Order: sequence, then structure tokens, then C-alpha cells
Amino acid sequence: MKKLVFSTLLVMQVLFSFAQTTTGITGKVVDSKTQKPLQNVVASIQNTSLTALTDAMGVFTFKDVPKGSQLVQIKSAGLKDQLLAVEVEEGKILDLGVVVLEEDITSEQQLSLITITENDLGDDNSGSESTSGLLQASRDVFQQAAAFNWGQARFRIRGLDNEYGTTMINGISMNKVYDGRPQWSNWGGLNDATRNQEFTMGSAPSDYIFGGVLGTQEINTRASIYRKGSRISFSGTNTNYSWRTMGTHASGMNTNGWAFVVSASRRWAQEGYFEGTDYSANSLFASVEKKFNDKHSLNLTSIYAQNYRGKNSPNTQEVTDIAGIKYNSYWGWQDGEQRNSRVKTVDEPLFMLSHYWKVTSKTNLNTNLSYQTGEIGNSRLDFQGKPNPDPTYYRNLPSYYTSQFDDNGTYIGDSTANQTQAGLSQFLTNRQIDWDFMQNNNALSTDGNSYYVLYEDRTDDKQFIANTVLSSKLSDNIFLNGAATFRKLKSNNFQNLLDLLGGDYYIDYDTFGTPGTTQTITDLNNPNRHVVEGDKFGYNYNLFATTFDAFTQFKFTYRKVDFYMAQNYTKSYYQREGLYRNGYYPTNSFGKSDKIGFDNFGFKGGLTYKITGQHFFDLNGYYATKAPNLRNTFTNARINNNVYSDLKSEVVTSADASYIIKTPKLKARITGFYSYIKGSTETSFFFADIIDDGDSTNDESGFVAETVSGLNKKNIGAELGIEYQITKTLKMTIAGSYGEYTYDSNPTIQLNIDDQATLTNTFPVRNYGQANLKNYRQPGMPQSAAAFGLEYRDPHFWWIGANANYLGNSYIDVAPILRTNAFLIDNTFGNTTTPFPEATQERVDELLKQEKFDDFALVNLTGGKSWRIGGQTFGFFASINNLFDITYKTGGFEQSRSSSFRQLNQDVSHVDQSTGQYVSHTPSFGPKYFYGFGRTYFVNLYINF
Amino acid sequence: MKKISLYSFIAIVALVFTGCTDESDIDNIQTKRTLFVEDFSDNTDNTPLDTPGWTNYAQIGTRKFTEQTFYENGYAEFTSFGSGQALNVAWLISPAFNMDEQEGETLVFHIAQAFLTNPLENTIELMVSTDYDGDIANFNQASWINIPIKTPTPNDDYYENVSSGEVDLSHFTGTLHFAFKAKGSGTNNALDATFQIDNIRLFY
Repeated sequence: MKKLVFSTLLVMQVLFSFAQTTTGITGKVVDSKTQKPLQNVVASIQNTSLTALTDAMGVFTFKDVPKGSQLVQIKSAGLKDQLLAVEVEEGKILDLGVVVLEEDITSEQQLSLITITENDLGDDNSGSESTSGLLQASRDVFQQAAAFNWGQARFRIRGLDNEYGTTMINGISMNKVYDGRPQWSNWGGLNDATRNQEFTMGSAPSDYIFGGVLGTQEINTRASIYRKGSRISFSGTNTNYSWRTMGTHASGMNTNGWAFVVSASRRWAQEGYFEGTDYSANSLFASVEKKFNDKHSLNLTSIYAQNYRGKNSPNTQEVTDIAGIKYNSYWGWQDGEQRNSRVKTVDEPLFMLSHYWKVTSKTNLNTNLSYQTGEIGNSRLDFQGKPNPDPTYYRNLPSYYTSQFDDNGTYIGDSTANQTQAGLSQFLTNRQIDWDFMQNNNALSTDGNSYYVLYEDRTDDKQFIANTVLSSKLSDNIFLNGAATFRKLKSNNFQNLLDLLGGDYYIDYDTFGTPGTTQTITDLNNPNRHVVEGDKFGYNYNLFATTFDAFTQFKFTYRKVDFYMAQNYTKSYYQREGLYRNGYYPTNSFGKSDKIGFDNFGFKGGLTYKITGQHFFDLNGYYATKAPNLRNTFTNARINNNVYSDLKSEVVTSADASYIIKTPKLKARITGFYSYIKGSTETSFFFADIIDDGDSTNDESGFVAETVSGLNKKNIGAELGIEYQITKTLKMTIAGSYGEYTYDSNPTIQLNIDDQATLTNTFPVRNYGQANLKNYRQPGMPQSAAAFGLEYRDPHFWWIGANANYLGNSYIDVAPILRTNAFLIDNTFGNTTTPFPEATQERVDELLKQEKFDDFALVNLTGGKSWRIGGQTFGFFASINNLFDITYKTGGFEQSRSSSFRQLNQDVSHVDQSTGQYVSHTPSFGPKYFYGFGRTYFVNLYINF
Repeated sequence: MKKISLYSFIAIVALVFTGCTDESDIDNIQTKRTLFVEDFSDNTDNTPLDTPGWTNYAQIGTRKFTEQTFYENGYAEFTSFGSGQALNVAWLISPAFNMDEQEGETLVFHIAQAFLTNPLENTIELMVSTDYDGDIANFNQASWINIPIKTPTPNDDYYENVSSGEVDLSHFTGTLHFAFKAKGSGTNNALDATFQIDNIRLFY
């Protein structure tokens, strides 16, 4: 009975008022489950700069509070926020009595979320990575929907890539210099240890960094801020992994000023949701803090997360129709075991030493040194002079036969011979990687060299970062934030031989080079080496990056209006150092490149106008230039030092305006946003079967570096979030986003054509001119989304929720090269503008029409319960995502293989002789798609003690 | 107060919908259109050329163009080899084209040679007329002008197609005929090369 009384969701009513001289508010915060006082809970009075922390007895006190209506917010990591409306009287201390904080269920949801973010498809150039990881700590109802409901569908907030957000640990940006994105796997599985997070959205001010236009996430691992206690959990799911165990212990600060936190987890799967996707991840975390005195503390954090993930292939519609949604072409049986040929391994331990200095009562200085070293590997098969081992290689598929034309352009795919061959296609009977076939081939070699090997593209980074973050309250109304960061990266990139598959050695040469020339030689300093497992081969180079970043920010807080302005300066230097002298580029592959430098500036500002204490109008503006990422700077870093001379920084502008309502029952926000990214450069690397060098057809596969420059992106839209507490136990949420994320320019396309390299032409590039991409949609995310959710929280510590979501306007990633004039030109006449006689503008428009994926609806259920037994809390959390097992595409891309109108037209269709109309047939080089998970579950059992 | 809320709400909504784009705003690359294709696909091997629309005319001597096929690919061929005549000049005259219905007309085609040793006297040329009336009886009343093109040289491999490059015909108006004029000798074996014409395209 007593428990029931205490566990009411809202505060005990205002009880006593003491006759004192000051005007203020006090209260005591306890845990709903244990009824124990909670220390270090943040209480703040909204729209003022007043904040207070609870003491060991859970008590907070505000003095000198302006009289009148106020909103008091009480929050702590892992617990649900409380927003209390109070009336403060002059000369009295208002006692709120006991404020009960409940466990925040979003922290449970975060556990299931991380399974999505780590499946970062981004590493396959698909760019299809959701922004969920960034948002997980947000309390905003819209952003929670974006993370938890839509993350599985790769929703990206405001259509922005993760490189426009910043994820920090202790104020240090974890975004990689290489691609600008955070590597979530670096701290994956450490949910408990990374739970203390702050989030800012859009370009709103962060206290630590200038940031981008997507938002910032700050993970704080300072040991003393963790709530004392231990937690062990065990989970089962059918997503990336099957099982997870995690244990965490936080000591709290002892009397000698020591505090520590340790956490460890393991996640694994024989096979994840998709076939052949094995998974293994071990993570360790330790943070220890020594408080020397009231002014100085030192904290050491070390994070070591090992991640091994078998990837799954994007597939054409033909392959999916034959083999199913879960089909994955990357694995095969070897000695009775499933083995995946495309494995991503991440192994990059991180150490961080932080000094916290309370300079005065109003000024804090936090200085950090960070060192990270380790390896990222992405494995794949290599072969010399033997058939391509990919089971979905185009010649293995029925479509290879059924899309045949003769030399006169007559369709013969329906001939008896081709129909028979199609029925005998290798893929129909042999759908997986054939490891035995490769080993048997290697065994046939009389010299002992392997024809087939497994290797990995490795990136071994060593990164040192030093930064210092200042925050100071200059006056009652003015806050200053400042930070300076120095970063130095050395990144060694190379091919590493993993498995000779039975042979004695592998010969290091380039099979695409013209025989008898130096083009076949990967390293002229050491030609045709015999390499064995663990040897570097193919390419080998270092990238160096040095950046210096300085930021200042002023925040002003007044009764009616808050505003801020911030500015940023970044200096970046990039350099490549070739360790091999490549046979295509003997003079410009070995040794150091020029240093490429960029100076970048940023300005932003914004204001919050307080219409009333509960209604706000918020406005933010942002302008910054952004240096190209390291990966987009060197056009073909694997084999030469070349950099496009017109490489420029991109210019990012954005603005957003919001109307916000915050009342104890209703929280709502509607935001309109606009962002424009001007002049971005994107370098992509892919294996292409034909390198169209204007020469005849060359049925070889080669590694192509394509650079798209001068690409503008326009993102405009609105987002809405409403959270309404219908009764004390029932809550309704509504979230929606409507965006139009388009390309707003016709960029220039250039292809590196290695085999045209000569001693005098060391930068052989074919300029394809402009690609007409303007007004095409940006790919890889639903541009519209809506959610409706209900959540019931029973006073008896159980809760259940359901939400329905609608996602739409998701588009395919179009191939820029198909939208250049080269696509329309019949190159049998050499360098002319001769069109294909059968080409009509209507047919061109049909073939180039951007595929829009089907809209889809997802229904998710969540629920949980916890018990208090003795001194411990037991609980479970369960969720079912995509209840109705809806099949949906999360992304896809056009292949560039059919790079002319005639090739593409013939690949997808033929003319019916009787009607003269085009009839579609299964293309041999159709687009490849990624699919979302079908129905999945996640169950977590935990004990807190 | 209420007004401010209302205004800000309207401003946000307006901001979103003013920027909306439509799929029809996509301005794809524009293909040129083909006015005329001749690839001699209905050839009968080794017969006098009688491809519909074309006029096969021996101006000097009796040799004309012939139809040939090689692995099912048809082409027009001229050779003075074995004619026994000291000078052979033959014309292969195209159908008529109305040059006023479109702009930017461009011609491309392939020519291959075999046994060519003297490209100055043993020639193949592109000729154009805007006053030829299509009747071969009136051939001599028409004025024909020569348009320089890229033709095979003795250095090219025998029977290898050489692209003419783009031939700009856009400045002609009225009714246009173009013609291939081949010249050789049946008595001088330095001047009896074989010329093969294929893949004629007129586009704009």
C-alpha cells in the first residue's frame, strides 16, 4: 500500500512553506523502485540559468528564484524526466516534497537500437546509414521516433548524412577524418557505460563543439557521474546477433576521492537475420577517476571493442526472386562450416585521459588527451586467371542468357538455346561461395601459387587528439564556451593476405594491367613478390591528416529571450605517402604527395523567444565551409598521389524554425528546416566490369575511381512531434517528417582511367562532363515518415507500448555516369555526338527515371516489467519490431555496368516484333537492393544491485 | 501572444511548401534524333547495289557500287580492280532530305579500304548538292560540292572501319542529296583499291 502511494507518477503535492527570507524551491528526489535518495540528479528551472544538483540525501535547493509561475525540470541519465509546474511566492521556499523518478524505458530501447546502427551499410558505399545512433539519447518525441521506430528503415533526420553530425566522447569528436562518420563499433555493446549522453539537434549550440547541421551527441564517461551500482543483463534477439551478455559496475565516489566504472559485454551469432552473417563482438570498458580536491580531478577511460561481422550482399531483383530476401551471396560451406568471405573487423582500442579543473565556481576547464590505435579490415576474395567466384556473377545467372542480343541488335534471349541455357544456369543449383572449388583449383597449381586467396582491405590508424574545453559563466546572463582541438592521424592502408586457401604463396601482380608492361607490377621497387598469409600486397600507403580546430560560443539568457552565437575555425592538412611504386604510376605513386591544406570557417547563431513560460519560438541559422573528407581528397589513393587541382571545400548553410510547447501534459514541437550543401566532392570506388574508355568493349573487371564534383544538395522539410499524457498511465505520441531531399546541381563526373597512364600522362582522367542530376532525389532514406504510438505504464512497474509507422518516398541511388552525355553517344564513330538511332527522348527519360521504392508500414510492440526482490531489481524488456513481417527496401543502387543507352535499353527490354513496343525482361545488371529486417524480436533480462 | 504563435506556425509551414520540387522538374540529358540510317542490312552478297532510295551511278567507265555482306553484315563496296578501264568514277547518291525541317544536321559513316596505296588519285569523297532533283538524267545540271572528310589511309588495316568524324551539314537548306564519289583505275594496279561504306547516319 505504502508503495502505491509513493509510486504515483507526479509529485507529492506541495506540502509546506517555511517562513524564510529567500524565495526558492526545494525538493527531494528518490528512485521509484528502491525509494532511495538519488544523488547528482540535475534540477533546473526552465527559462532561467538556475540549475542545482541533488546531494547525498537526494535534496536540491534553489534560492533567489523569480516569483510567479515556473517550470522545474528534474532529470538524470537513465531516468525519466519530470517537468513540474509550480507557483513561487515571494519570500517563501516552496517545498516540492518527494519527487519520484522512474526508470526511463528509452534506455532499454537503446539496447535494441544499437543492433541497427552497427550494421552500418555505409561501409559499402551505399551511404545507407541511419542517424539512429546519434539520436539515441534524445528526449525529443520526434527524435525518439526517428531513432527507435524509423531507424530500422534507415531514416535520416533532415535527410542528412552522419558526417554532418558529431559524436563525442568526453568532448572529443569520434567522427573519423577519413569519411567524417563515427565508427559506432568502437564502443558498440557498451550501452550501460555510454549511457550518460547529451544531445543537441540541428545546429543548436553544444557546449563542446561547433558541430555540423545534424546535431551533436556527447557521451560522458567520467566515472564519478555514474550512479553507484551493478547491472547484469542477458539478451536474445534475431537481428545482427543472437545473444548478448553485459555486466557493468560503478563504484560511486569513495571517501578517498576514487571512483571507477567497469563494463564488459559479448554479443554473438552463428547466423544473424540474413544468411551467413556471423557475428562476434567483445567489448571492455573501464573508467577511473581520482578527485584530488574540489578543483582538480583526473579521469582515465579506456574502451576496447572488438567487432567481427559477416556482411550481407545487396542483391538484384532476379537474385532475390530466386533465392529470397535473406539470401546472401558472400558465404559458402567450408569443411561443414558456414564461412563468410566479406567480413568486417574493427579493433581500435581507445584511451582517454581527462583533467577536470574547476577554475572558479563559475569556470570549468576540461582538458583531454586521447590516443586510438588499431585496425579495420574488410575482407574479400581475389583471384588470378580463374573464373570469378561470386555466385551471382552475371554469367552465372539466367538473365545472362535471357537478355542476349545478336550482333545486329536482334533479341535472341527467347531462343530455344538461350532458354535451355538459362534453365541450366549455375546460380540455380549453386548459390553460395564454393570454397572447395577454390581450394581444389589452388591444389592444381604445379608451382604452389594460389589462384584464389582471401584478403582484407586494411586501415590501421593511429590517432592522437588533444583538446581543451572551457565553460564559464561570465555573468548571470552570459555563458562562454570555448574549445581548441588538435588532431594528428596516421593511417596505413594496404591489402593484407588472410588465407592462401591451400596454396603456398600468392604472386603480387595486377591482373588488369597490360601483360608485358609495368602495369602489372604493383610495386616496382619489389616486383612480382611471392606473398604469404599476413603479408601486405597490392597497394600500401599512408595517409596523414593534421587538423587544428578552435571554437568559441556565447550564450545569453534573459527572461523573454535566449540567444547564442558561435564561430569556428579549422585548419586541415592532408598528405599521402606511397609505400609502393605502382607500375601504372612509376613517378607519382611512391613517396609523399604535396600537402593539401584547407582553411575553414563557420558561424552560427540562434534565439529562443519565450512567448509564455510554456510556448517557445526557436530559430537557428548556420553557415560554414567544410573541408573534403580524406577519402574524397585523393582521387585514387590506392595507387597514386593525384589530387584534383580544383578540389574545394563545400559550403553548408542551414536554417530552422520551431514552435515548441512544453507543459506537464503536452509536449509538442513543429520545425521547418532547410539546409543546402554546396559544392561537395564524392569519390567512389567500385569494381566495374567494363571500363568504358571510349575504346572497344573490354570484357574485364577493373577497379574504378569515380569523382563527382560540384554536387549541391538541397534539403527542405518539416518535422512534428507531439507527446500527450492522456491519463496518468496512458501516453500518446505522434511524430511526422516530410522532406524533399534533392540534388540541386549538375555535377562534373571524372573517371580515373589507369591503363591510359604513361610517363608523361601521370593523371589520366576521362572527363564525362556534367551529369544531369538536378532535382533527382537523394537516396537511401525514407523522405517521409509518420508515427503514432500509445504507451501504457501501470503503477505496478510494468508497461506496454505500440506504435504504427508509415514510411515513404525512398529512392534509389542513381548512377551519375548514366546521366552524362556519354550515355547517349554511339561510340562506334569515335569522338562524335552520334546518337543511337533507336533512342528517343521518351525512352531515355523512361530508362533514367529514378526508382521510387514502395512505401511501407511498420508496427512495433514494446513492453517490460520490473520487480524489486530484496535489494535487487529484476526486469525484462521485450520488443517486437515489424510485427507483420513487412518486406521493404532500405536502399539500393543502379549499376554502372550498362553505361550506354543501347546497353541499358537492351539489358532491361526488347522490342516485341508484333506490336513494336518495348517488353521488359530480367536485366543482367539490374539495380541491387538492401532489405530491412522482417519481424524481429529483442528480449532483455537484467538485474540491478 | 496568440498572433506570434500563429505567425511562426504559418512561417514554418510556408517555408516547407515553397521549396517543393516535382519529378517533372528533372531535366535529363537530351538525346539527338536520327533522321536517317543506312546499314545495308538487306544486301544480297556480290550483286549490283540497288538499295531502295539510293542511286548507283557510273559517271566514267561502267563500274558501280556493289552490295556485299560479311558475316551477315551488309555494306556498299566500290573497286575499279579488274574493270579493264583506265578511269572509273562512280557515285552512290543518297535519297533526298528536307533540310528546312530541323536544325543541326550532322552526317557520320564508316569507310574501310583495302589495297589502297595512292590516296591522292585513288579516292573516295563526300559530295553534296541542293539543286539535284533526284533524277539521274539531270545529274549534270546539278552542282555538287566536295566536303572534306576523314577517309582511310594506306596505314589503316585493310577492311577496318574508319569513322568519317562529324560532317556538319547544318548550313544547307532546301532539298539535299549527299553522295559518295569513288575514283579508281582498272588498268593501273596502284589505283585499284577497294572502298567499303557502311553505317551511314544522319542526325540532328
